[in-house]
Amino acid sequence: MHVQWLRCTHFRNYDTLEILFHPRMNLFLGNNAQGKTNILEALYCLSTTRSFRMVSEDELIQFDQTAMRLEAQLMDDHGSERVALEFKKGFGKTLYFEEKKQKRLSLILGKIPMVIFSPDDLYLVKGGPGLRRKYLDAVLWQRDLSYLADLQQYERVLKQRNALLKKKETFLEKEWQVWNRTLSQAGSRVIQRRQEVVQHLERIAEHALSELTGNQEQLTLRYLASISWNGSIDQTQQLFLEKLTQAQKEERMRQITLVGPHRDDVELILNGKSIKHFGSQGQQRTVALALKLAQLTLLGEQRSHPLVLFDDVMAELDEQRQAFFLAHLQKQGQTFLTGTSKQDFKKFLGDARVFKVDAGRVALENEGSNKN
Amino acid sequence: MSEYPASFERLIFELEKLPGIGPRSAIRLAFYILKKPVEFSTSLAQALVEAKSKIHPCRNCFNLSEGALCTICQSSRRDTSLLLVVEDPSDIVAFERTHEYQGLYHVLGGVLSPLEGKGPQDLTLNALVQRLQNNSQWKEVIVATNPTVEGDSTAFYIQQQLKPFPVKVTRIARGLPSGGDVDYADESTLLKSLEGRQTL
Ligand SMILES: Nc1ncnc2c1ncn2[C@@H]1O[C@H](COP(=O)(O)OP(=O)(O)OP(=O)(O)O)[C@@H](O)[C@H]1O
Ligand SMILES: [Mg+2]
Ligand SMILES: [Zn+2]
Repeated sequence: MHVQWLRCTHFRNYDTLEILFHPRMNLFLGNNAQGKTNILEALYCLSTTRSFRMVSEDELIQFDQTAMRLEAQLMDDHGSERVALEFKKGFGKTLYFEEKKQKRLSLILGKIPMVIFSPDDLYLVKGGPGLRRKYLDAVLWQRDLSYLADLQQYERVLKQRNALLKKKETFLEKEWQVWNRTLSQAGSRVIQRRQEVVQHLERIAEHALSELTGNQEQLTLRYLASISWNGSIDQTQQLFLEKLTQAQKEERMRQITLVGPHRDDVELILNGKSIKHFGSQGQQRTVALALKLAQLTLLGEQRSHPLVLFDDVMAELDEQRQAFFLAHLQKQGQTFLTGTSKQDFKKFLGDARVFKVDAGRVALENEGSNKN
Repeated sequence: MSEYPASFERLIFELEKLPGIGPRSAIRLAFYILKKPVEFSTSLAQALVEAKSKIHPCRNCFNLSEGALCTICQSSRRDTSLLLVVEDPSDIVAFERTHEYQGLYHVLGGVLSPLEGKGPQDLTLNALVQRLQNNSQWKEVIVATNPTVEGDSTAFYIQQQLKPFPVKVTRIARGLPSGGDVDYADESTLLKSLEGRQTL
């Protein structure tokens, strides 16, 4: 699958923008704050209906405007499809396929698989457990949408159960049983899927890491679960219920659900040592990169190659790694790179379609190679 | 600081309380009402008051009714061994449209949802248990709450409550889109979910 063209209206600093993409490699160059990341954000937004920046969604709309629209033409072996997302302040978002209004936004999910690389990936290793859970969840739902339903169900029950914990009145045992059951049911499915995918990722990420460093590395990903996977859904659910009973007193005191996959983490161990605690900045960066590469590989195994978005990452890599990425990306899907200086992309310039981004205007600088 | 005459402001104020009506729609509706002849507003106002004063929950099943019992409970042609439990009266309309289901209904008045402050005592669950206690003719209770986390939890709660009774408790199949609404489902989807029901 690749995106043939993108049209943005009143999106961020773009009044109107139309870009014809190269089917393989696209490079956006420009000074800071000109709108390079905004282009990647537009693609991400079409793919997920959300932004990857932690901001109020209204900010997606151009200053002084009340609505924005993103539209793209997707192309795969079966033909082309036009998708559009509209967002009006105060009215929410609307999704269109071939100009036809769709009933649910979630229908777009999975249509434009993508993986984003950004300098923030470092926090995948350095940051809190929430980011690692989010990473696992993104890998899982992009591979299989049914996981998203499981996850959303779990998050909804969790909200309900926390609301119940905050109620001052006496606790009705029968009501508790119900929410504990629903929570443990949905939760056990989440635990199962994450457990499985961590094993998968470990193998692939270790391979990617060795390729990146040129050394034989030993990478271990350990899923730290408050309820460990117990071989079957039923048994895991049983264990889940037991843990809930044990935690009951403390939960009621603290008024929050204390056990379940929403508290889990992934421990990253490099050659026997926790990377978060003992890794150098460089090692942490490399492992984060390996994790993202593993995501890319895993998604590519399942369906057509995902889009690859590279925001500001290339400049951080030395020549050897740039060469590695160039070789690697040849085997991947349509790629979008951003950067400030041509110098950082010497290895790419031959093949890529190059755009110059300047204060909300995008100009074509180089067509890019015709070989596919 | 009101921009409109007081009575007009009041009308907007009241209209805005309706679900799905924002300030802009409220103003649009208010202007519409104003433009129409007086018969229009008299008739609308009367309909509002009349509906509110005449319609009560059915004593038996909590369906909308003008008498003590709703038309379904009054009918002698219904299968009195089957009980279909739904969230709202609008779900009954949806099942009636299938012309397939012949049993009786029970309207819960929502689902368990601590987020909205709804516990078992806020639904007609005690009345449901009463109905099973009062009569031994029931063979099957079909729980047709929406396929949501709340609907599932409520179904499980009902199953627990009905354990002492010699009835089969079933749940409609997940033919509906997850998170979907019973009363928005088309007839054939609803029929399939009814046929594919499973013992809880
Ligand atoms: N809602 C909006 N309306 C108009 N302009 C906006 C809006 N949101 C962001 N901008 C502008 O977009 C620009 C930032 O764009 P973007 O983040 O894409 O920059 P960039 O080219 O990636 O820069 P850098 O190289 O620093 O990462 C800023 O000038 C900002 O003021
Ligand atoms: Mg940027
Ligand atoms: Zn009735």
